[in-house]
Amino acid sequence: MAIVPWRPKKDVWQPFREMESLQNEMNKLFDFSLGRYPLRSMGLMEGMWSPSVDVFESKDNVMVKADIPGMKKEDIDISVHGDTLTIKGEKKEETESKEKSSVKTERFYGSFNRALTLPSEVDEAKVKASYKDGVLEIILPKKEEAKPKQINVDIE
Amino acid sequence: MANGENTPRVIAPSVNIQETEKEVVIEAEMTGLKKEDVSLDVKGDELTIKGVKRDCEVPKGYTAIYRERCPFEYSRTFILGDETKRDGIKAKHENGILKVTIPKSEKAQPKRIEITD
Repeated sequence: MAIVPWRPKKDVWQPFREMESLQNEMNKLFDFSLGRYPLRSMGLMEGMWSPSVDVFESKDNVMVKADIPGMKKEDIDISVHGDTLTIKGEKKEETESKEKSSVKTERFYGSFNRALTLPSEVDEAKVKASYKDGVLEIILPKKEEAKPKQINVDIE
Repeated sequence: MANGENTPRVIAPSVNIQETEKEVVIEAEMTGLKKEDVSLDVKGDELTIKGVKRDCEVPKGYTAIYRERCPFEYSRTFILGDETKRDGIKAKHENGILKVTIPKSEKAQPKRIEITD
């Protein structure tokens, strides 16, 4: 009668231990991709945030609204080229004083950039923008040739 | 249509929380609101900030081409704990940021003990 010899445990396949190490690897991956705090200082957060926008159109104008909380007017840069509107800026973190300590930092700081294709060509010289309650509102008058024209066609 | 276009989606605003010796400061990103659209409620141990975005209507004479900003309702609840006071909470809404200042209770403030010979 054969006796099964005793074996050390490391030879036995332990599926749960393997799953645990897989889970650890997954956690590391998520920590990296979700941009935890150290990544900001490494500059890897750049381009991670861009403002939400609404685009409206009327007969004469195009209106764009963008949510950009906590900015200074001077730090927002708007440019128009043909039918492309670009909103750029940098959200600056207030310099932390020594007696303050951060408990939670979820707000985004750094530079952002958003380019939009407008529904029609606009007159770059007549673009107007305002910033209020954290909302940037841009009114872009359409070019004369882009406006809808009514042509009367006589039907014989 | 329970989740139709006009039912606002409730989202938790992004916050920064900072602490000094005397107070706790919460800064929440809530854009497109007027001061009167923001509410702050303290109930027992919970502080809830809420806000309804008002500028969601399509401007007169315009048609919507593309929308990402609306309709939204902001809501987030914080647990105050016994280290903060319930009265003396101050709030300010500026540039789309709601800033709430909560004073700390006396027992949470550090005490310096002098060393005598």
